[in-house]
Formats: sequence, C-alpha cells, structure tokens
Amino acid sequence: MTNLSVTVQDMEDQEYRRSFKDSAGYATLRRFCRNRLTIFGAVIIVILILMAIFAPYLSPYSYSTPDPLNAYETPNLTHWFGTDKLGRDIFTRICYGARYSLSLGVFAELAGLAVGIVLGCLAGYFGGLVDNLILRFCDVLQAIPSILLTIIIAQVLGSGYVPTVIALGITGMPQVVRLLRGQLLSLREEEYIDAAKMVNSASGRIMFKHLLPNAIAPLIINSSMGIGAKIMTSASLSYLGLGIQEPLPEWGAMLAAGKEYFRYYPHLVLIPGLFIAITVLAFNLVGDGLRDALDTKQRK
Amino acid sequence: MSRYIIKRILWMIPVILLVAFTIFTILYFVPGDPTALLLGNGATQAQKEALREQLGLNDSYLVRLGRFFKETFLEFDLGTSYQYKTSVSKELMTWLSITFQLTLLTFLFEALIGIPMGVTAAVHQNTIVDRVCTVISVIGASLPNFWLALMLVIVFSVNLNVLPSHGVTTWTGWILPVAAGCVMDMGGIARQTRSQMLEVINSDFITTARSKGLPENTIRYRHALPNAILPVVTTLGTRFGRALGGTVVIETVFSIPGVGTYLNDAISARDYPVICGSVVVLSILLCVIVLLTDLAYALIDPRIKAEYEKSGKRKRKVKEADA
Repeated sequence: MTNLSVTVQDMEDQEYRRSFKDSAGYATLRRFCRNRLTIFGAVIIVILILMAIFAPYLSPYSYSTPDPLNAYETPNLTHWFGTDKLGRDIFTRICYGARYSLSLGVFAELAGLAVGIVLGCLAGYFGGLVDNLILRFCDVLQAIPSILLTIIIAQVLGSGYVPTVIALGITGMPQVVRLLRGQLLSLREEEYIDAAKMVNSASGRIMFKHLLPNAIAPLIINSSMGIGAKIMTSASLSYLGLGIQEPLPEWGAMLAAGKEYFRYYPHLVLIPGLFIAITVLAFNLVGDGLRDALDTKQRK
Repeated sequence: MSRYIIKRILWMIPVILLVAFTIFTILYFVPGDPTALLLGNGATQAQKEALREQLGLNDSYLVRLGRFFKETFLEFDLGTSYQYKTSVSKELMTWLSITFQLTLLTFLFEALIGIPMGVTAAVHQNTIVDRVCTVISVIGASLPNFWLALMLVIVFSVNLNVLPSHGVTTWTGWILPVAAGCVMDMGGIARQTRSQMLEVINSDFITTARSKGLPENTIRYRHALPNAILPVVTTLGTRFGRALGGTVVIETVFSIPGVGTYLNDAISARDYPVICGSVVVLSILLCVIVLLTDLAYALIDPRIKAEYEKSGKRKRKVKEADA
C-alpha cells in the first residue's frame, strides 16, 4: 500500500503478479479448511452428490419396480435400509431421491437468488421510489407466513418438480433482496463507485460489475443455509401432500408415503427423515464455515 | 419516535391491502372448482352452475375483488365458509386460539432453554461445554420438525405408551407437539445468544465492571446478558409471528384443530372465504407482532431509539443535499 508510484508497466511486470497462494481466495479457503466441522459438512455434501450421480451403480435394485413379496422388510443384509410397502428397496430410493432433494434445494435457492439479486441491486442502487416499491413488495410477501405462502403457491401451480422450485423460490426471494439492498446501501457510498460514475460507467455495469462482487459474501453464506432450509420446506410440502409426490423417490415424498404405516414399520419414516436431517445439517455446517471464512468483521 | 411509530402503522395499511389483493388474485387463478368439491361426484352441471351463481363465483374478477374488499375492510365480515356454512370470523377465533396456545408454549420453551444454553456456551467459550452446546444446537436446527414429531410419537406413544399421539384434549397432549416444535428454533436462539454474548463480553464496560471487582456472576447476568439479549428478543418476536402460521405441519401430525389445519383443509377444498380471511388475519397479526417487537426493542435500548430518530434526520439531509 505504501508504494504509490506504481506504474502500469510495473503492474504488468512479473514480480507484481501475485501467485494464487497470496490471493484473498486462498486465504479464505485456508480459513474454511481450518474448521473441522465445516470439512465434515462439505464431505457429507460431496458423498450425497456422488450418491445422486452414481445411484444406478450403487444398488442392484430398481427404484420403481414393485416387488410385493418382499414388502415391509426391516433393514437387513440384502436390503440395507429395508423395503417399502411395495417392496421397493429403500436404499436405492434414497440414492435416487438424493437427485431430487439436492437439486430441488439448489434450484429453488438459485431461482430465489436470480430474482432477488436483480431486485436487490435495483433497490439498493437507485434508492428512492424504486427502493420503496421493491421493499413494499417484499413486505407483502413476508407478511404472509412463509410456509402458508409456499402451500398456496404450490396449490396454484400444482404438484411436481418445477412448481415446487418456483414456490420455494418466491418465498425465499425477499430475504435475498433485503440482504443485498442493505449491503449496497453502504457500498454505493464508497469512493470506487464515485470513480466508476465519474468515468461514465453505465448503471448496470456499476451494479453488476462493481457493487455485486463486493456484496456477494453474505449472499453465499445465506444461500448455503438457504439450500438446507429449502430441502426441509420441500419435504414439509411433500408431507402435506403437495410438492413432489409418490412414486417419485424424493425423500419428503417417501416419508409422507410411510407415515400411514410408521407405527408398525418405523424405518419407512426414520430413514428418509434421517437423510433430510443429515443434508440440512451438512449445508448448515458449510454455511457456518463460510461465514467464519468470509466475514471480515469477525476476524481478529 | 412517535413519528416513526405512526409511519410504521400507516405503512401497515397498504401492506395488508396488498396481501389481501395478492391472495385474492392468486386464488382467482387456482385451478379447481369449489362447487365440484362441495357437491361431490354425483352433481349435475346445472346444480353446479346454480351453486356457482349463489356463491357469486360467476361474477367478473373485478366485481368479486370489490365485494371481497368491501366486506373485509369496510364491514369487517370475513364471509361464510363454503364447506362448513359457518361464519369464518367466528370459526377462525376458535382455531386461532388453539394455534396461539401451541405457539406460545413452543415459544416459551424455545426461549427458556435456548437463551440459558447460549449464555452457558458463551461463558465457557472454546471449552467442552461450549462444544456440546454448539453441537446440540446445530443438530437441533437441522431436524425436520414433522419427522421429529413422528419419531417422538414412535418412542413415547407407540413404544412407551405414556403420551397421547394426537389431540390436545388433555394437558399431556401438548407435550409432544411443543417438544417437536421447539427443537428447531431453540438451536437458532442458542447460537444467536452465544454470538451476541461473545460480542458483549469483550466490550469495555465489562472490563470496567471486572476492574471494579464485581463478582463474575453479577457481570454475566446483570451487565452482559441484558446488552446481549436485545437482538435475540427481536428475533424471538419475528419467529413468534411466523410460527402462528407455520405450525401447520405440527398440527397435521398431531391432528390439532388449529388454524394451520383449518387453512390447509380450506386450500384443498378451495374454500375461498376461509383462505382469504385466515391469510389476511394472520398477516395483520404478523405485522402487529413485528411492529410491537421493534418498538419494545427501541423502548428498551436507547441506542436503537436514537438510531430510528437519526435515520429520519439523515434521510432528510440527503434529500436536501439532492435538492
């Protein structure tokens, strides 16, 4: 910072090129890796993703073909997690279910982020009337208890994968808007924004090129937690008979299908729920680790 | 301060009106015919048509919207349920009171367990006690409440047979729903209390208190906790407001006749007056609770009060500068 007489030529010289080891990204990565619980969470997520990808190779059974002779088997050596009311292997269904549950959480979060980022940028950058309108819109969405709003939207759009993603995305959006707007309100007073305005940068460029990258850390933390929460809510929806339904092997749907028989066959409910809990836990742990690694305020 | 309160209350009115408008519009586009569900499979087309006419479902969108707004906000009448043929406002009061009790109990346990847990963790920072509290709260926050509810039923109702698995007719019936409902948010509260305590515990006035020679417990509970607890109180208030509508899953598991069950049934049956009425009432409650917690917060903490007053001034200054 002391060397103020750096010329463009100097900057281009090799010695000013910083290796990856000096970069902020590397420092963040190191802080991230220092926490053992975070690593634990990340490993679980990787395992779940691998399970989802290699589901067809992990088990000899089909996730959809009924086998009534072997119905309601409790966990044993041939069927690790037992079988459900139609005799389908639960382990196989859990593996295939990871595809639905994980991607549902991720896409719902992304849907909320995509709309939330645009609205949040507009509100935070322009302020005034635009800000007020967007915030009131969020007020309206947040004034309806979120699970009820999700239920109502899911009813309107019908059950299935895409409607569930949209319903979860809409309810998640206001939080993103508020978070980003708050960040931008303070960032837009920074000098480099004045500088960008002075060289006549377009508003869009300032918003997405200069402001957004500096406000991204809280969004990343929020999204990691958000994915876990979305997986949980989508499971609640399935439980209530909305969202994704049987015979698809989504975890919430499996749990919902097992609830009628759970008094006699607890494993029908225990196992899918356990996987939901583990997944949510993993995303929460990673979110915590990201907060510690990215939050400059907490660092001492 | 009073300007701020009035401004907040005035802002609530358009928000509530917009909520009503949004919910009405969404329902207008919901596929499914309430008359088909009301009359059953045997009904003829003419019967359905007559009922639609009688319920006013054949009118245009604007006429129905106008009628809904007039009845709800000018006459304070939430209409009559299609399914039960009873007054929505009366029914809503009974269902809401059960949900309110459930939410209040859940909320009390969340606070009574979560806050001390957070304080203990912060006071013993980086020791085994802290780790155990953190692990419990992190795991607690990850358990789906309906799943936990089913597991509790398996253990306490099916296997041990000590607690009822559904209904809240006796006091024992409340134990499982409250237990299943409070675990998820309890972890969050404990963690928030912990991080707030940690922030406060390193501040100068704590050092001052220590240097005065005050006993450690007085420092913790008289000096540190009141300063750390305020943000937690706000979160608790918001959670309480949201929980009023969010108990639907727990209510379904334990067949508790609360507003969530009422509303969920109404949504499946396309019982429009019940859905609109409950959503409007719930969002009014939510707005009022959020406002009250914000105000309580400002009244307790002079710093926040100053911030509210300052933010008004700052805005005015900015406007002047723009002009």
